[in-house]
Amino acid sequence: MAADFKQKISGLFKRGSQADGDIMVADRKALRRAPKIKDNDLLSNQRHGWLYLAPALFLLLVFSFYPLINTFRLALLNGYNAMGAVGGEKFSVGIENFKVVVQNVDFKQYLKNTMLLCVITVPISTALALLIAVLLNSIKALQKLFQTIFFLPYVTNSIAIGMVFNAMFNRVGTGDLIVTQGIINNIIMLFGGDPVNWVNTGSTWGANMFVVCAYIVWNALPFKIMVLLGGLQNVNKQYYDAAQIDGTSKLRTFFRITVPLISPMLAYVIITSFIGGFKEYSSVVGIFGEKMGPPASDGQMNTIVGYVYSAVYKANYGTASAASLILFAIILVVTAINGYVSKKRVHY
Amino acid sequence: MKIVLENLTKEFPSRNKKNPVPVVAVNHVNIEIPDGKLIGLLGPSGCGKSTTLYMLCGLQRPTEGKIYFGDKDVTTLEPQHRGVGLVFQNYALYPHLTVKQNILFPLQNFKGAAKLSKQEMLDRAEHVASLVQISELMDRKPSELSGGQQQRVAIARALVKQPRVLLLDEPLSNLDARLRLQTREEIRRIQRETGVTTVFVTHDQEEAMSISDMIVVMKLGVVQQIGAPQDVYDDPANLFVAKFLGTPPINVFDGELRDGHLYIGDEAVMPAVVREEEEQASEDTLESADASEQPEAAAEAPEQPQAAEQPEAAAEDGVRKVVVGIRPEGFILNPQGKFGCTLRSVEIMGRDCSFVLTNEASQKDIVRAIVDAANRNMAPDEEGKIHFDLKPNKVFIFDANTEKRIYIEE
Repeated sequence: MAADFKQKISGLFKRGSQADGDIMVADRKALRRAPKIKDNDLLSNQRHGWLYLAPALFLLLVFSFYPLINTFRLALLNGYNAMGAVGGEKFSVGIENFKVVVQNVDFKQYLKNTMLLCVITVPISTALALLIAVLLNSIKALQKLFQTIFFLPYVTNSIAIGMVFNAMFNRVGTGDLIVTQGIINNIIMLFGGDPVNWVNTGSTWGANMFVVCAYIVWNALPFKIMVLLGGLQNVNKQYYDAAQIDGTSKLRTFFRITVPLISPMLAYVIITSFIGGFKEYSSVVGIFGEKMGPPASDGQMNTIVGYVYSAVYKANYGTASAASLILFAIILVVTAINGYVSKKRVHY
Repeated sequence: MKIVLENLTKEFPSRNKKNPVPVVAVNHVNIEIPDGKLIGLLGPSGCGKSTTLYMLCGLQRPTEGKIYFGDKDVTTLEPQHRGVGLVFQNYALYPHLTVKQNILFPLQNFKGAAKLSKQEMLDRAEHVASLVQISELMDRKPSELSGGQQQRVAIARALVKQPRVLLLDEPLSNLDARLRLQTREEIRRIQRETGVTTVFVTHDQEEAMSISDMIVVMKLGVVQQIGAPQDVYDDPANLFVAKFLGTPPINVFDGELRDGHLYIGDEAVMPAVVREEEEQASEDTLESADASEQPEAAAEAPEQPQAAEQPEAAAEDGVRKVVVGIRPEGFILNPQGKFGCTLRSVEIMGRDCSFVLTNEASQKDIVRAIVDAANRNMAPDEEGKIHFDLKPNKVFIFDANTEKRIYIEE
């Protein structure tokens, strides 16, 4: 028996060594084919890295870094404009462009518009998105269907949405010959209210603001709902079980457990929507067209980005750059505040 | 408070649409839990122990059956009205709240007459914190605590509202071996100090045996046996229970009962005469889980025919196929012993030593016998075998088909 065992063992070893040998032969062949290892191997590795990065880096340099730096340069060249530059005009260095922008009466109006749009739409759309996300998360049947419906605006062109919003609020016809008051006014009248002049000639700034805000809130919902729903679905169900066993009310569970646990997503949503709000432009174009306001009140709803664009159209690159930098500074400050608050409020 | 589970059943709907047979997670469970005791629900994963716990706390509704807390039927009562504290397997501490806020959380939900003042809440939080010895951790976040500390916080949070019943779901599974040992003593101490009726779920038999007043062994949703840990260990009702309890695990052999002896392989290892009433009692083994009741049950049936001396399994030739379980501590070294096993190696464990053996009839590759360490140099005979006598109270005989216990005459 012992001899048997010995044979088995040695058999095992033989098989083992044979297999090892095969691998070693294969290794040697592979080595011969592979290039020899050199001292500057590390360096060549790095070279490869840079090679792979090059396309993206090149595009970034041309389309991001250069314009960024050039914006600072143009903003600091007094009265810089494209025509003058082509004509060989020399510009002195200074803060003339900033003065022009800040002292412009229109710019103040646009700044006010932009600020108000942010302050009104960010809280409303975030709260609404949170509510819808919580409701979506609490249903089982048809959840996917509703998710799709709520996501539709995200894949729709914003100019097209703007035109639809305009149609909903638009009055067609004048005086006694009113074809339609627009569906929103029709609804108001159904409940016995008076029709409002939302977007037509002579409409007030407040009415315009309401329409734009409604548009922005609606347009912002899908993305926020998705992010918040993702956050909600990641919350461990056991926290709710624990809360339920302790007899926690629904409201308290929401504010003391749900909201803190998805606070990272909330912070993300709020920061990005503030940034988006300050860059608001296409919504106004969608509703009012290039005039950025109701007929005969051009620019009534214009925004900072709108001001930048019109300056660019007029080839006033200096003021356009200065206005961009002012916007940049505002966004920087607001984001910093957001970051500071969320550091205190966002958990883990 | 006494807890009674009556005919408790939980079915989950099948995911298989073509063949919608519901999954029965808990199958007609009857348990009576005395007031102020620590009960271990024990079984392998998927045996329905956690589902039973969740039905106790109300997070899951039973399909059938009743739950009583004291005399009150709580089967349909919402969790928050049951007065239970639950410690989750992964603790479920609110990560954004400090330890203190976590412990205060249940108290802040009190409404109406039960409402406490700020100071009362703080006092109670301090009290439970000192009970579970975390007073110095009150201002930390859960992420800044070790697993064992989180475990204590979770227990404190469950205890602070002074529940009538404390439920623990696999309380020690997230802890390392050393901490597990320490924490299970803690749980025992806390339970003794508060006197709260406690039910805990575990798959670790050692854990359940070491701290429970009573264990409930479950398998596939069915209760296999209920009793004091030592009683269940010493007197398993079936092969599953015998295999599940004990480290190292019980040795299992194929055997036969014939000529008034128990045979393992060709060796008649010990005399064994089946008790007369055995025949009849076997049907009830599962129902009246406490094995000691069975002789009485049999006595109530006097019409037992004489033929019962011959077991029905193989009455013609007087041979009955059985499965034999021998606890590792059931072996007595004796060179003239009737039971021989081939020695493979000896493991030294200090006080004892463990003989690693093989036997043709064993259902597993190795047989393990624990004997006094003084015998560690015991030499095998010329065939390489070691001989043993068996301790009769450490040998359990089970029917080969039903796996139910066959009781033999003392």
